[in-house]
Amino acid sequence: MAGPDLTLALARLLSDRTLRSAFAADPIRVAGSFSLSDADTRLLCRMDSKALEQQAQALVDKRAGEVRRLVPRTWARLGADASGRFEDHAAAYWPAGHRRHPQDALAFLRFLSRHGLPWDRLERLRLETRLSRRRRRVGVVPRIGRWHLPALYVTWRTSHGWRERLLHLGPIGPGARRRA
Amino acid sequence: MRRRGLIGLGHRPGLARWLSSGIADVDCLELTAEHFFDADDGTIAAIGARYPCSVHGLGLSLGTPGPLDDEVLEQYARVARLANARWATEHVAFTRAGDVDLGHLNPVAPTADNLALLSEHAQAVHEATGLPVRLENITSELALGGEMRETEFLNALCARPHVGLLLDVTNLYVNARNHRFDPRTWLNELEPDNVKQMHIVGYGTRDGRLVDDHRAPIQPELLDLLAAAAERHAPEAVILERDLNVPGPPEILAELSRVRYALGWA
Repeated sequence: MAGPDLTLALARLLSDRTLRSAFAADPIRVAGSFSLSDADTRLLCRMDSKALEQQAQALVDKRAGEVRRLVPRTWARLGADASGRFEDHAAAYWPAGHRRHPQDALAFLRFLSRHGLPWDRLERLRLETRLSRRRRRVGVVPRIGRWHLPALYVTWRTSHGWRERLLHLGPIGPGARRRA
Repeated sequence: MRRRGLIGLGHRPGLARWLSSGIADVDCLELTAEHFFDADDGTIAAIGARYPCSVHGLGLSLGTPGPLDDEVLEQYARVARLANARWATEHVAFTRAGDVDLGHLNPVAPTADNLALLSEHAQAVHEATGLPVRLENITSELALGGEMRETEFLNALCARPHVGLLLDVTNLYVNARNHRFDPRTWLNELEPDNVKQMHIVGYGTRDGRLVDDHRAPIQPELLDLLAAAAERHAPEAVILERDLNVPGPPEILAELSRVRYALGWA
């Protein structure tokens, strides 16, 4: 029977770059490790390992695109390192369910924090709140832009979705815009 | 005279307020099911009251071996019910298998067993929603071999009761360019009338390959392919599937006009 077991093997390969490297080096050995039927084994061994790597990369790129939209300030702070750091995070974490993208983004921020890399507190507050059962939250974010003092971040849920405000305390720095 | 279908777009948060007023040139909306799993009943019902809707799943993972996830199917059916949807749509793909959730769409091998699996899952979606099911072709860097060609597989799928094809013209074009086959030949291999709906959006490029990033205006060659597909089929709806870099209402309406003109439905 060809089909379902092959799907399971494909999912394993797409989620595990070490396994993909092994497959590229020796597809017959790796295919044999999945206990597939002869027909499935033949189909798997005929798979182009370069195309497999491209598909796996496409999955990570799609995740990265969603996370970048959710945490643009963090992404900007990481600069040229952003994609590489995300791939390091993505190799070890696969979010699940319909909230996967915000979960992925929050997990990425925690990954950055664990590794002493820059991340944005406002974005973390936002994600933590929206992934919780809370309907409102007030938090403190450090200096944003050229504002000298921390700001209060206030967010609340309405029937039309989430609303948020930044309440800045104190003066802004010279040359800054008045609205953050 | 060519039968005219509906022309609409994917419902997106940035367009929600504009759409809520009822836009005459938007015939229908496609609701991405997972985007509404956490929405209250009234929000979904209000959309369904204004527009004919389809509910488009991303996470039912019809290509996953074993039964569908009951909780996801129930949530999907809830959105369909509240929106008073006319169609239930998903993909010829899997997003998870075993203990791995890849989160995005991946190809299934075109084999007899996968045909049976997808057919069974499509029937489960029909039974859960009471709606006709439309299944979409996806892009893939992987061209999986199997027991039949992709078009043969899709034709066999569409021969099952309550199942039709949601032809994503952009996905077809992206695959055709990346894997070097003729999209018109592929189209001609589909049995007439199997295409019940169509998706279209501009493609992107990355590292010399085309990508379905859903962020660009529709390119002329896609409109040509759309028109060619509509010649042999009678789509009930064509959906503009812009996810990113979503323009404002004037540009959206202009895109819909271009689609309408290309189809000869003006």
